[in-house]
Amino acid sequence: MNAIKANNFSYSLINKTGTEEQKTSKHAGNIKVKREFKKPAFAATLPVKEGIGKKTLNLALKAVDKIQKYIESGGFIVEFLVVDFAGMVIPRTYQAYHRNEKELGHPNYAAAKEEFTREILSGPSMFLIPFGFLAASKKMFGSASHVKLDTLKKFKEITGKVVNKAKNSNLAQNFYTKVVDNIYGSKIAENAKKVIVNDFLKLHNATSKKEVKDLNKKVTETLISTNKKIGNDKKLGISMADSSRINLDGMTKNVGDFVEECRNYSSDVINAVSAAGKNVNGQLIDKIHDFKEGARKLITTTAVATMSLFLCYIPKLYSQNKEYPGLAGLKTENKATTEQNTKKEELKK
Amino acid sequence: MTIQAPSSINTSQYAFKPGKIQQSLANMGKHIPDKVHDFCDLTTKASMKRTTQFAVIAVCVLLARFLQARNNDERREILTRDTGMVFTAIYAVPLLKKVASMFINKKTGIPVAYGEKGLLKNINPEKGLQMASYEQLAEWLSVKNVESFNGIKNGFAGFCRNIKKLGGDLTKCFSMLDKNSKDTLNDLAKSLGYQKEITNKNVVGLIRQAQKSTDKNVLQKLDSLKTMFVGENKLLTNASNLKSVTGASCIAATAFILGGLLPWFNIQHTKKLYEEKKKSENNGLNNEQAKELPVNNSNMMNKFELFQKTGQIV
Repeated sequence: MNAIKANNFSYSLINKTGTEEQKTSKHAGNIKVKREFKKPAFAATLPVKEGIGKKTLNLALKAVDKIQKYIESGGFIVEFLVVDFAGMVIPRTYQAYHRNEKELGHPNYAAAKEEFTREILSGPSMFLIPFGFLAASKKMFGSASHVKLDTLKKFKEITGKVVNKAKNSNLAQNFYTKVVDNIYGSKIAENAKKVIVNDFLKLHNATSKKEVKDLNKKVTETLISTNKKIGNDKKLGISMADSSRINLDGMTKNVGDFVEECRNYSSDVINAVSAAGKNVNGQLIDKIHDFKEGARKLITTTAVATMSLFLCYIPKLYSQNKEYPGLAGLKTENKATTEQNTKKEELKK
Repeated sequence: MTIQAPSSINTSQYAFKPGKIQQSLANMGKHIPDKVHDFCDLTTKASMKRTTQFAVIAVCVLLARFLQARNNDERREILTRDTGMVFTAIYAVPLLKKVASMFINKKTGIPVAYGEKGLLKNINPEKGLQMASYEQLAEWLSVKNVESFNGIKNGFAGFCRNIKKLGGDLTKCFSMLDKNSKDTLNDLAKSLGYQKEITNKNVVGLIRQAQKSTDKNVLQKLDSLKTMFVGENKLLTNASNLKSVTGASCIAATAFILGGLLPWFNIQHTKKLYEEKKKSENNGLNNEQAKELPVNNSNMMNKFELFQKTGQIV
């Protein structure tokens, strides 16, 4: 046998062993000689099918990579919803649908309906309710109500400092200059600071949604690249391990979230303070911030409270059947209990 | 904090006049204690903190469902299914990611996570070791162009130092980039007169030395090494794939445990309990005894409880 087939795939013979006499004898063809194979590398093992296998594997990896990147870019909400829907709603409903199918003689529709209602209401409500509250708060209380309370307090401090010396026409510029100063101190050159401030001002003045989105991205990138240039600085809270983090007076923030908060604050509060012109004073600043802080507290607390109440109420929505449908089909065994309950009820009467 | 207005500025509030309803609501909000608000605080993407999520799910999902259940069978199933859900979704998956990132790092030498290691520091899923985002991986393992080298301090040496600092094995990382990358690195070492073997420890020093060199041959080799890191290089692709597979595995594990295993266990367990009850009935229990038999325990427990209640050995 001059060719060896293993698992239907041909290996090329690398070497033949045997004595010289054996090789040259007339019986050479009948002599079973030990054949040595070099174990080929994985990539060279399957000359034909290997290509298809590798291509398929690569395609699968690319697809997984693409899906995962999409999930990550959508944030925790998308991740949770994908996990919730693909991991809970579908398999649980499927199992409930076939629950006690043999005993019942048909699929367990009631159990499937309960399972689907419960799962479809539980997961998404944990995000959709708070999301709805935040969207409503922007309309009712202005975009600054989207700014986290600790950031709002810090921004108030900064506004208070810059408004006193401001001529007020360039309040936004003074505000952002102070913000950038607080983040980078003397670590970057004045020119670099000016570039960042100008980017922030463009974002502040942007009107269309697209413009805001693009400029948000641009400012975020500028801050990240500045962080990279700095490298590691413990005092400023900047690290190469995560250059998308900045530190504003002790508060560590994600750059993207921070830029969004800056825009939400300045397009609302700074504009309101600027509108007061020369009549601006501490009382006005206090009043605006008290309003925004109160609104923020109210919105987040009521959002979580509403969501919690809704979650508590969900069993009322899915428990439409008097009896637990998971026991349907097992009921014959349940007769004794039913009889007992009926007797108890009669006795009570 | 009260801000003192300059004496020259008159008090005026005309620029800010919210509606009466809004003002009343905001006034109500001011009375909410800071601790309550901190607990309920939301991110810009409307998600809660993990601790808040844990508390909300434990109380409003697990407890609320348990209390509103229609019978003991449903209660038992809720406990099995939803307790598993709380721990798997909130704690187990992030912990699994931490373990996976450590494993990847150890096996491949690619850094895919950052943060402090150690058991105690990693019990809280929000703290300790965190798997890097795709953006972070791109920042760590690739550059846009060799001229600016992403603006990183000390250029290529700084870039490599960062990979090492993140727990990466530079020799392994280099060998992943290209077929010839390891040879190029060894050639570079030879050109600089390095006698020792190139290891993770001395790669940064070697590159730093090469950056200072004026030798054209050295600079050429250094450039070819730098070029390998530009854009979507193999190292980044590997890191990205490993991260994606980990993420997908976590989703699959969650789906398997929460969507498949726990409901399946509940269905089978309940069925078995009822079968056991039926068997007990057929094994000589009279009707009155069968009525006393609980359905939420094993056969042995059923017999024991029945013995306790009736005094008869079954």
